[in-house]
Amino acid sequence: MDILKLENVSQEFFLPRKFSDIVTNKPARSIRAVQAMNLAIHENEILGIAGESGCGKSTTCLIAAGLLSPTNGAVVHRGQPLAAMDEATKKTFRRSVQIIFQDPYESLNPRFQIGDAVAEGPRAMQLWPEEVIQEKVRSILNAVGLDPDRFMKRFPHELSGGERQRVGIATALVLEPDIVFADEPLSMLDVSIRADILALIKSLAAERKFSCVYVSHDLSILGNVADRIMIMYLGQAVEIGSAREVLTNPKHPYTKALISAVPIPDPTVERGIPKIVGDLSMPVNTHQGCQFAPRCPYAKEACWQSFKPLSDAHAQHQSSCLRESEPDVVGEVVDADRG
Amino acid sequence: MQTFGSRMRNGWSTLHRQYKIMTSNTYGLIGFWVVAFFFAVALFAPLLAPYPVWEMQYDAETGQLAMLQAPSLQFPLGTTHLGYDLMSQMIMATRTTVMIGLISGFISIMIGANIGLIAGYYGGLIDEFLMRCTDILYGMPFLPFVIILISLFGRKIEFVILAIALIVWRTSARVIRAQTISIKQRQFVTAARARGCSHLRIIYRHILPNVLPLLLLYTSFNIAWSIVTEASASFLGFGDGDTISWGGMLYELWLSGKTRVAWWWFLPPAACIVALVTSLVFISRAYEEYANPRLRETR
Amino acid sequence: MLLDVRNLGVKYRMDGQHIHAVNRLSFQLEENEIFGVVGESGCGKSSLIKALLRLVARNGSVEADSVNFQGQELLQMPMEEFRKNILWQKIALVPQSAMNSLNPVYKVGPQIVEAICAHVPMPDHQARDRVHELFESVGLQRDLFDSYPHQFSGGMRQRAMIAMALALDPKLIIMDEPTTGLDVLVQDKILKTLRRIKDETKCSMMIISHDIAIMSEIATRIGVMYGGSFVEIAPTMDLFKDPSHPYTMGLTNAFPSIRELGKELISIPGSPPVMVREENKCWFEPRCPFAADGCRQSFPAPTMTGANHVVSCLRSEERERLSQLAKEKATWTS
Repeated sequence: MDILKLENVSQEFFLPRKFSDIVTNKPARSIRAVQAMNLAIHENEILGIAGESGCGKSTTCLIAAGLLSPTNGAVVHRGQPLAAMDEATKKTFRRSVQIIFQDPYESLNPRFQIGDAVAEGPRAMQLWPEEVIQEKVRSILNAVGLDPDRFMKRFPHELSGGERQRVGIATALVLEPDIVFADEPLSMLDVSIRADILALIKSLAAERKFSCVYVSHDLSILGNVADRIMIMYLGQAVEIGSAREVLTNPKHPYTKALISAVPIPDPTVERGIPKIVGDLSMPVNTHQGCQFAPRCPYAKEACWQSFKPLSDAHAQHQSSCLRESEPDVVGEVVDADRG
Repeated sequence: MQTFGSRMRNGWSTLHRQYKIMTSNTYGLIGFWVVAFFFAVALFAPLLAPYPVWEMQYDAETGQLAMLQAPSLQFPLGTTHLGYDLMSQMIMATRTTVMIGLISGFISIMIGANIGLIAGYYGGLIDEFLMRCTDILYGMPFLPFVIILISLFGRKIEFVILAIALIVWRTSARVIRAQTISIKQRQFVTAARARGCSHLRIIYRHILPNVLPLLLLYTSFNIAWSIVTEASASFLGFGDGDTISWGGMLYELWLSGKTRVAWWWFLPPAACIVALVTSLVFISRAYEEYANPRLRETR
Repeated sequence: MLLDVRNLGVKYRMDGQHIHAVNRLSFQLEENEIFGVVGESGCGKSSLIKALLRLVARNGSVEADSVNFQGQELLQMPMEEFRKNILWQKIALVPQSAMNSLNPVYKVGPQIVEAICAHVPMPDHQARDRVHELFESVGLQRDLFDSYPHQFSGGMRQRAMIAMALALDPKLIIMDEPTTGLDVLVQDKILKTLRRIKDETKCSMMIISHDIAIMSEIATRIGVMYGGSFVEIAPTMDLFKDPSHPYTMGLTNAFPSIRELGKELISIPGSPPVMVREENKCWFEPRCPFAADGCRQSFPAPTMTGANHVVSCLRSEERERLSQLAKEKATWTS
């Protein structure tokens, strides 16, 4: 059963109209942060969402977590659409969908002691009596590798980046969620401590049986941690499939370009040359078709006209490229050590 | 649960922290002790005043009405043209001034802080409405407003306090709103929403503690402004008729026509107004350093 | 040899204590090479840059046996002369988050022109031509000269800053985290641009980054910095094939690779030090799985372990065996 589904979700941010536009009655310009997204998150999986900045992955996260209302489409939690939920169900939803944030320095209230920060969720939602909350707080702090006696009374500024991120994880997990969205949780940490936090997330997900949606621009990390990967470009989901499939056998020209641009920590290996044209464009009221068309070396007329969103068929390797099976596109397979 | 004893200890340590902040630089230190001095005088006023305020005094030597006497041993600050002892007046007036200052200051910061927090957090129509109210009040000329209020309801101390509070809250509302908007964007507020906190909980439990340094700064300012405002109103004759305040003393002086002669009557109230207001501003300065941008620990 | 640094130290006075940000650091830079400095937060790389450019804050002091640039002692030079002849002319800097260094209310081209003219007396039109030339060499379109910074993307702004650094044809360009915060496709472009510039102008580059993957691509030699000094310096290929310092071994374990999807990532336990006193010991010792008693007693002196390969480790002789052990997770968790 899918824990969470996004059905045809779109998010448009409208820009204020210029005076000349108001006078000439032109419609407001908009940024399509997310476009016609179909996504299903399974039980017990780690789904990676990858893409560059401005691709809409963080917006997708916020919409799926119910913190932002989409302009179109529905978010469905265990069969129930979010929009139709009553107060009690909403509360259950809020509890079962949690987020781990990117910046360990910013995601903790500087005025709260660690113990209070972790207890805040259960207290706000009045889940348990205070003694039970205290116990759960201690147990989750232990689970993330922080000794409760040493850390509960401290303030965020007394902790290192890695410790703060562990607290962030604890605040999300204390509520015992089904799904945890992790928005680039490692990018602000030193490299030598990332591996531990990544391993922590992986082991907690397996142990406590929650699904994790890991949002990142770093394909190397996703290759290491994710079961499935979805690639986004300027609001459109362009490819989805198992991590191994997507990274060793990409179907979409953008994915191919991305993969060949990722540096490899091994001087003996030559990566490919990304086949891509021009700089990132602003996603303002562009054409109706595939957003990658302006930069795609294989774009044809049809690509500019229409966009084929990914359907939510499960666990299959799909891409939104209209030309994906044509010979000149397929031929450019990234040469990779299938490691 | 927190025991009463631990709450007391928490309260004390908070006060102690405030003391440390206020006295963190020289200005704040001077300011704090001057304000403490005036506060003590205000508190113990009836015990300190040597003579009743509105009782005409007689010179011990000559036995005559002690009119317009310069400072002497018997009357350390001299007397008014009607023989009232100025020292007693000053002491009792200190109580009035400090009390009005504190009450108006606190009422105004309560109004200003809440309006700022709510307008800043909710945005949209609520923000528009509240800010337009603020703008209208900005346009309101203070004195005519006070005159109307007093004329309608009489020269009572409650109206003076009310009038002052209604004017002084404006700037603190704007500033606190601005800071609320900036704090609202920070990730820990999104995190709090994700953890299920209601809007009110976020405003008062998550945002307010982070706005607190600025709020305390403006409390100090508001008290200072209230005192100046009260002194101005009283000086123009719109103060409370029964209780004496520093501004009121200057008003009496002006009425008597002896301004150019009785320097001992003029100097103490004027100097004290300046001293108290300046000291409050010094304390605000100390808070400003603390609030602005709060030193984050090095990463 | 372009730059020869011997025994550089930078210390700051804070709250009555001395913090050594850089401590007994030595390295050499040749002409026409790209030298990568790899290090995490707190290793002292920012202080190293500031020391070389004499931009250290007032509560800090710099001392060294020698900082020799093309035969001149940089630290002995009078500040005026340094500012006029060396800074930007011979040694240029592209600072971290340089993209935010442009003044938002002026157009980009004129900003660079103004900076050039302020430094070197040059007629305006000559400076403009120079800037157009620079834009071309960093891959920016000509018409961007008259655009404002907000009209540039992050990658374009970074390239504008590189153009500014190149303006006076320096022999050495120091770049602090040049691609951090940029997307991977933009990063790819910038790395290509840097390589091309080096080939065209034959300058040397010192690139500071925490990302060992981009170093392996672009640097000819890499220096690994920890606790204020270089723990290992070697040609890129040698560093990866034959890592000789436990920290280097640990670092290579910690980087995921898109070619090795199943690789087990291993963290180095603990966190980087905040140095307080100048002590004679190895600063990596608390986190090192191979620490011996001698590591706490003396500062490990740099030793040559191969052509151009320098390591500061008391147990460098055992490096082959240790590097095999370092590949296993159990070594680091015990």
